This record gives sequence, structure tokens and C-alpha cells, in this order.
Amino acid sequence: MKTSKPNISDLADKVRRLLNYDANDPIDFSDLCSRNPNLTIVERPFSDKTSGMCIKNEPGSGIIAINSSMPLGRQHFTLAHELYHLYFTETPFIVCPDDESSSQNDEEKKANEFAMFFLMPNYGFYGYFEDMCGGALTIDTILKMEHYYQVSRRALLSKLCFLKLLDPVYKEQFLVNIVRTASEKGYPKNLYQSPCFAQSTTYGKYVALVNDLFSRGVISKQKRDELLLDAYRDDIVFPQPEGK
Amino acid sequence: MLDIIQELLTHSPFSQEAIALFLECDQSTISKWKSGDRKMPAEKFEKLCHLVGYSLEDYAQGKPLSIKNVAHFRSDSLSNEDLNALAELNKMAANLAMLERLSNENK
Repeated sequence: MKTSKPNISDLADKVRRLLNYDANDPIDFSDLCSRNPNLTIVERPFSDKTSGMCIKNEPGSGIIAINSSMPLGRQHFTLAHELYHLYFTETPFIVCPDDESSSQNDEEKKANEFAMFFLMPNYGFYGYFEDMCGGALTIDTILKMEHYYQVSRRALLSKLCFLKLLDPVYKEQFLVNIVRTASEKGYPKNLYQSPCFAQSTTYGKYVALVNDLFSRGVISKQKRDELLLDAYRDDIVFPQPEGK
Repeated sequence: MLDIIQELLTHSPFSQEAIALFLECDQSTISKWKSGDRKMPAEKFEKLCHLVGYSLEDYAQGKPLSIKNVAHFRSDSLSNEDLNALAELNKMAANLAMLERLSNENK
């Protein structure tokens, strides 16, 4: 029997199901590593030309690194983009540029498309647009939607254009004074603005394994500290007293 | 060790210029390491191994070098900052492989 190749939207739905996310709700990345115990996430600054990297051993298992010097909305998109590479790209090591060259490469284009479906699934997006925003496209609607889905303005507008809810001709008018408008309407700026200090840290399988092997006496304290410092976890090696 | 250094430098997906910047040395020094005219310092060798994803554990075990298929669209534009990040991530990937092996051996 001939089977057709799944489209990118199906792949995004599949990963949502694998990670036990609801089919339509916004993605909460804070517990991604507990949803996939074979995943390690590294947040660290790269140059402004690179948005993320992915090193995989087998589908769904490996290290995803995201550029922590980019705005939060961009970081979420990168994380979703790298999930595509982690699950579906055959190359074991991928460095993803943050520029126009990404649109020249098929696999990068697919990863971008995947990220759009993964973060904003069609059905849920339509529903939210109709129910919560009354179907009217204003700056208030756009702000509400991008904060609901935790995505950048550019990503949200691309999705609206893709679903033909916005004519691309009008896209540019929503791309000016983004931070100022959001601030004036009472929204936080971190979705659009780079952080003042880009942190470096690691969470997920790597950190859990280091501490598990140390607690079972398989590795020494010195080795544990060395491995944690390689992963930018000096906060575990040199813990600060916790407040009440 | 010379064979491995030659392979690392010949088959690396990065330009000699980028590697020289990454290893903080002149391109002429790279050529001398490649030809065997000069001995490569251990710390530079370790740094180069991390850049191409060849772990020191692999080297100690005499494993042949197989440079991973690094797909970084427009490798020529990768900055030195990104090469350093890449080397650190490769080191973490090697650490993770070792941790997984230890975990499996000590179940």
C-alpha cells in the first residue's frame, strides 16, 4: 500500500502528542525536559548570526542549544525549530543561522514551518482568534495573541498571513514601534527585547545524569563539579544560600 | 598523533583562517602542525578535537576520526564566538555520551 509522506503540520501535531502537550494550547517550554527525558537544553549566547544548534544521537534524543542573547519570542521559535531537527533531520549536528540564508535551505525552511505549526496549531489558533479576539484584527488583538502564544511579532504576523487572516500588504504597519506599543498597553517587553544579560545554563538529562551518577558513587565530587562547570552550572557547584 | 592532526585539519569543515583564529595562532603555524614541522601543543589539540566533535576518549581508545556531518548553512560566516560555542557544545555532547555509558554500565 502506498503511504503518503506526512506534511509538516502533521509532524508538529505528532511531536505535540509525543510530548503530551494539548493539541491546541500554547506551549509551555518550562517543563519540556521532563516531557522528554532524553533531552538536554543549553541556553547560552551565540553571535547574532546564529539562533541555535542541535546535536542529536537518535531521533528525539540529544542537545538543543539556543541563543540566550535573543528576545524571548525569538528563543521560543528557535526551540521549536530545533525540535524539528532533533526529531526529523538526519544530520547529527546542525548549526542554525539567524539570517536570510536560512530560507535558502530546504531543511531550515521545513524547521521554520514546523515551528510555526508547533507553536500555533491551526485549529487552536483559529479558535482563539474568533473566540477571544472576536475575529477583529487590531493592535490589541495582535498583542493579546502574541503574548498568549509567546511568539515574536514577526512569527505571529506570518501565521496570520499564512491563514489568510491578514493581507501581507498590511503586515508592515504592525512591525513598527513594537516595544513602545506593547509597553504602553501594559505588556512586558522581554518577548521583543534582548535581555540585558544573556545567561548561560543547562538543564535536562545532562544535569540529572551527573547528579544521579555522583549520588550513586559512580563519579567523584571532583568529576561532578567539572562536568557541571562544563555545562555552566556553577550555581550547583557553588550554591548560594536560599532565602526563606 | 600526527595522522590525527592532519586529518582534523584537512577534513575539518572550517577554513584554515577560521581555525587559526579559533586556536589563537597564525595560519603558518597551522601549516607547520599539518606538515609535522612543529609539534602541536596538547591544549590546542584538545580544543581542535572539541571543535569537530572528536572526543579525547575516542582518541585515547584509538578510535578512527569521523568528523560529523556538520550542516551549518554558510559555514564561512560562522564567527569565532560561534566556533567557541560549538566546541563547548561538542565537549558537552562527549560528556553526555560518557555519562550515558556509565549509567548503562552501573544500572
